[in-house]
Amino acid sequence: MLAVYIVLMACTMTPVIAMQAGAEASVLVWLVFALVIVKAVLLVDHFMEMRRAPAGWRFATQAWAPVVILALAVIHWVN
Amino acid sequence: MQASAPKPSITPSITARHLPGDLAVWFFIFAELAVFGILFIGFGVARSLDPETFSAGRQLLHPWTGLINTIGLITASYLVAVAVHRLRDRQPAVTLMLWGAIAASCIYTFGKVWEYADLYSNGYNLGTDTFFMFYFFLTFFHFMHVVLGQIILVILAVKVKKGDYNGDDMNGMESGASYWHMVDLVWLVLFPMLYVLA
Repeated sequence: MLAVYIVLMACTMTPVIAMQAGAEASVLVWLVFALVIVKAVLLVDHFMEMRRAPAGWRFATQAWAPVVILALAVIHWVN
Repeated sequence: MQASAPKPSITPSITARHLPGDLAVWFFIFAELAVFGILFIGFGVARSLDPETFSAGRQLLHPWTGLINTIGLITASYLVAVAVHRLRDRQPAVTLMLWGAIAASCIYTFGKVWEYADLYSNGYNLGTDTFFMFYFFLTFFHFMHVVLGQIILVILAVKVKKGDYNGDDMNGMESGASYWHMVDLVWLVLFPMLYVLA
């Protein structure tokens, strides 16, 4: 559990530090998209304990963040 | 000679697949996630129509405040998850973990109130432009969920202290914890969307 917490913290800090360090916007966007999905899956599986839930419920909960991020990524990419 | 019956496990850890918490809470959680998802996509569409306004608005926010708020919420979620494990395994300090989670979540609430006050005193509000309309609406809607989550955590802490929740029936504790994690999950998308991507 502590390891998951540390990974979540690292994933949270990375894009802000990268932004402050002047990372290129196009790189930053995709980094943020990827890290949000990683964080959401970790939170759902370990903190929400959905890894022990029936497969359908687990999949539906895990899918929320990737679906929203995919939609945002498509909107971003189209523009 | 009769075969002895298997001894019941002292720690009732979950082995079979089960949904943590009440089914009704999960329908509520999915309804909330659907609403937030639609609002986020609306934000993405609005941003694509007026990227300059969104970029200018984002630069007026405080990314470090957002980061500290996020750290507060993730820490609270971690402590709630530990509290659930401890209660299930009948270990001590469950109440302490829950009060710790409430304290950590207060970092978020104080940070958000400070940020609202700062923006408002500088003349930014819901009617300033499209970015701030989304910013205030989305963050305040989420803020209300955090406050409700904090009330739920207080109720859980009091019930554990009184012995109403002692690990025999985890339904109430898991339901409250699942709601709290949902609030955290929403912020994990909302934070970078507003403070980094906009």
